[in-house]
Amino acid sequence: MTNLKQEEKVWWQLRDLYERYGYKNHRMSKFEEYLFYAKNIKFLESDQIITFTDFDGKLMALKPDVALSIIKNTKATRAAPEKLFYNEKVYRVSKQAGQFREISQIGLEYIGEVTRYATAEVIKLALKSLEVIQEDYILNISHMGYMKAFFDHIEADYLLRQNLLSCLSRKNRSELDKVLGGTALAEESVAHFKEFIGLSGKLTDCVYKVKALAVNKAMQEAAAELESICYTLGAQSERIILDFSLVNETGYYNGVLFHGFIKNVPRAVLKGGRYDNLLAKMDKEELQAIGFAVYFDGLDRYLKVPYEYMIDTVVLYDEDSDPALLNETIEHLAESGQKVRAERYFPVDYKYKEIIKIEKNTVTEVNCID
Amino acid sequence: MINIALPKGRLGDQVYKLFSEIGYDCKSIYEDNRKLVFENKENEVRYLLIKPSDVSVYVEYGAADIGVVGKDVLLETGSDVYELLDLNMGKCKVCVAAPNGYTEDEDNVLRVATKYPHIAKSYYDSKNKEIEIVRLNGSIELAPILGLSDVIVDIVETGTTLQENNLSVREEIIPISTRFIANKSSYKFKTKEINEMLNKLAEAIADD
Repeated sequence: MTNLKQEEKVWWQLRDLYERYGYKNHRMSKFEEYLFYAKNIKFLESDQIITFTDFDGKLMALKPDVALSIIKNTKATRAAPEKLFYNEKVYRVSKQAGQFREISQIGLEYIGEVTRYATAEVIKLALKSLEVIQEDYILNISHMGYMKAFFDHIEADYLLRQNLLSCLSRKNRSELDKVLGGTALAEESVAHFKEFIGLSGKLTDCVYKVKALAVNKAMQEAAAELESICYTLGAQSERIILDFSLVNETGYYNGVLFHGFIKNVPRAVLKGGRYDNLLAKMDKEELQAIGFAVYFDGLDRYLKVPYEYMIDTVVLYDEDSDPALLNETIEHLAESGQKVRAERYFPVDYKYKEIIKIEKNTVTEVNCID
Repeated sequence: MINIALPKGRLGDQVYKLFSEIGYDCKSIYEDNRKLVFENKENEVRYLLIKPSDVSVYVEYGAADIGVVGKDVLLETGSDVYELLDLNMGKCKVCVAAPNGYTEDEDNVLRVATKYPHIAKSYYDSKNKEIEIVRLNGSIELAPILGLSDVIVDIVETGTTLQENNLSVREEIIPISTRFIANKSSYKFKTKEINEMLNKLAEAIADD
């Protein structure tokens, strides 16, 4: 395992973790018909998709998203839920790079009847996944059902909801007044909303506040769901923080929503939540689902362990060297676990620890040139 | 240690003064040299002096935990950061300006010179108006005088520069002020420190 890339190590560990909790590895094709994404565009982060024409003239797309395909093909029922995980590549436009990028994504989905325990279990696995990547991690949790119920309570229209969510996601109190300009919102509702912007802390500490701020049944139910996560996970919920600035970027999520952060990585490396809306859109209203994915876009940069030497021993040879001795030497070094490389000339473009030379029938050490 | 991205220049000096008054001073910043990083280990702050238009990028990518930046830069870059406080400094407006006496020729596509292509595009998009953008980095006022563009979209503070170049404001797009911003991940790992700074800043501003 020592020579595996960090990303590969993380994959093996996550695979082991998910299998231990009874989730099944799932594989799928890289392509999907474009029409499928066109119909579900509001569930995608971007409407830019790489397309090509198949032999039969069908417009195909390179997958921009995995969950959509899983949901389309799922055979889960409420009584027989599907628990699966995957390691796939998706093709999306990266805002930072301004072009399409191939992004490795390891994800886990639970489809069926999402009980309170199932929710807690998926969140627990998200926590454990973060721990595999790095010890210093945080899972930010939020609840779209809670916010939606609040907006229903203040009877906000679509535009006001979008503007309020935008202020919330940026923790922007100063522009709230501008957003509310012209809307006849009661002063106490504004103060109420400002509480949501300011709320940030351990879920176990904040959950009482969340309950106290609930003004209708749907908000109370959402608060109870958050409370049940604390209760079910006990000490395991220590690393969960509640922060409502985490809001839905797409039409995907309707209940709990969570993002995982690891120290010194500026963006969320894990994203997930409850997404019943998507199932309803695909005529599977009877089902519920929750899941998450770890994104390796940019993460490899932080996971990379810097190594000084690419090669442990370089073995130099020339036309007089005994090829059998050369082969034997190389085999011996490789078998002993070293990274070895046969070279005709002195290497110039990589770093090595040691260099030896096969001169006719003898092995000689060469002093490092620099 | 908290990394603070400050915009180089007059605004940065003003902001540093505010930070030092609330307990985050770093005396070495006054030394006359070309250093861009200043650190005070005692109060755990490190100041980074950065070109104003790059501040939000440093914060979004986590090279700085927090920063101070004009709303114009945030609107232009669309950086995904927390916008924690309006510092009520560096107040100005993004405006459309044109030479005095200019009348629009509806037959031609309006040519707009600006260093804010994104703001200009969204403004004219919202009016459903087709424009051609000429992206410039400075001396924008020169563009309509030399016929490079019909109008300009730029920040206007007092209007003196416009006046001296025979230009005047035609439309106001959006008011601008300086914002205290934070990286979304850093905020979660350093919530206590950042909130403490935020509260002190809010108090200091309220006192003014």
